Amino acid sequence: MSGKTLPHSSAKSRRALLKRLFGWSVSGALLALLYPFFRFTRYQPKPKPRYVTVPGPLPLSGYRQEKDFILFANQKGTHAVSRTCTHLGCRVNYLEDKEYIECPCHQSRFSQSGERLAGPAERNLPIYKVEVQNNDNGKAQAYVVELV
Amino acid sequence: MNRFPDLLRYVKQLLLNNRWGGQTLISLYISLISGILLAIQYDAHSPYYSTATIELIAPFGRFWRALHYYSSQAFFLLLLGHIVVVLWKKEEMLPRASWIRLCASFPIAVLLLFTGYVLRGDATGEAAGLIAENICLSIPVVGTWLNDLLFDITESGVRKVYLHHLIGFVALGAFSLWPHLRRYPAFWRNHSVLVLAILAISVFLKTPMEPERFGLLHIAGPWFFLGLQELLRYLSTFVAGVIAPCIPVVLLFFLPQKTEKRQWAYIFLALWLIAYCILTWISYQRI
Ligand code: HEM
Ligand code: FES
Repeated sequence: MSGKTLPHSSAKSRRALLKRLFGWSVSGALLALLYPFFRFTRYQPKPKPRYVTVPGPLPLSGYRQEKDFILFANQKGTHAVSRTCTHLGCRVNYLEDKEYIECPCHQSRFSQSGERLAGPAERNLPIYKVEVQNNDNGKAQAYVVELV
Repeated sequence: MNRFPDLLRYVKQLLLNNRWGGQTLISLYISLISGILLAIQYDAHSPYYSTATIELIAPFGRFWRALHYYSSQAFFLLLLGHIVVVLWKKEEMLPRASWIRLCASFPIAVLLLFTGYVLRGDATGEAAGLIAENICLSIPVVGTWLNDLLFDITESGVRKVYLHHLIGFVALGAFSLWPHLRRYPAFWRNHSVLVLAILAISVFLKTPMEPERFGLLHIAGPWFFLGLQELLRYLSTFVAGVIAPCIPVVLLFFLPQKTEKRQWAYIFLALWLIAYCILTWISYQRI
């Protein structure tokens, strides 16, 4: 359209420049969008600490397997071990006859106190704090496990 | 006395002339339809409970669940066959960008199939989801973000996985296949045998489900991830869970145009496949 008033080549090069500028700004806008995209998708509401109450006393075997932890209460003391395997997160089981904890996915093994014994897992299982609530006779009535 | 070579040639012709692509697409359609139907009863808040409800209580739930499961398996296997035959025939390759867009449908299909297992929420699904999450987390720099985006099972349960299974991966897959499907549509009338076969299988076969039970000391992943599960015993999570499975995908994406170079890519692909089959077999022995 402006070909008549302007020399042909300069009009063409101006159009090319505008086109290039436009292209760059679109790319810039897309790149800038990455920031809100990352911020939004990475946001995590803070997890609340969870308290789980297990009624006492425990059976003679001295342990109880809940969904997220295994509670041990015997002469040696009271503690809870996480059931999340430190290898890739499968739910571990306590094997009463063998007296160790084993993961069903790649068979990592842990002691009652969560120490790693064998297998691809490298870290110990986390331990959770347990509060023992005794009744008037001094018998354990409930165990409150703090999951963090 | 050349009966045997004749037979081989016959089988080869049969495989090469089979309508793999069309069959893949038809089973995908069945999977999509049955998937939407399942979603009417499925509840991502209680995955196992709702899968069990579909399986045991909802009228014809067992059939629809089986239809979704077996059509999805058929889709995946036929897609594998389709890719192998196309590579074998050495048909002319697309320009690189279009080729990568098209081939992206393969990892997307794997993710769709995999997230389906996670949705089931039984012992297998739960373990598979947690393992996927930890594999994701093992990726340097972008790992946590990728996990927050894709899995995040520990914090969100199957909510995000469900979203991607229903919308995210389906949309990505549709994008990746769009130009291809416009060129090669499939017609139901050409595939009545396949449809009948999938229907029959879904009526007669049970869909697997592994309830969480006491003394479940070995959980096997989905069949196509058994090799990966085995490899994760020996190598670091990142190498076994990310690098190893990415090798064939990268080879496929960047398949060389030149015939002699492409031969090498095929050899590597075949070696990878053989190694994966061996690992799968070892893993299968443990079940
Ligand atoms: C190529 C596409 C798809 C594939 C490969 C696929 C694959 C799978 C697989 C393997 C399962 C596990 C089934 C089981 O063990 O019970 C599953 C579950 C499920 N899928 Fe899909 N799916 C696809 C598309 C869809 C779509 C489009 C929807 C819905 C819009 C959907 C909805 C569901 C639901 C609700 C479940 C869980 C119900 C259950 O397990 O019984 N799927 N999918
Ligand atoms: S997830 Fe427990 S051993 Fe691998």
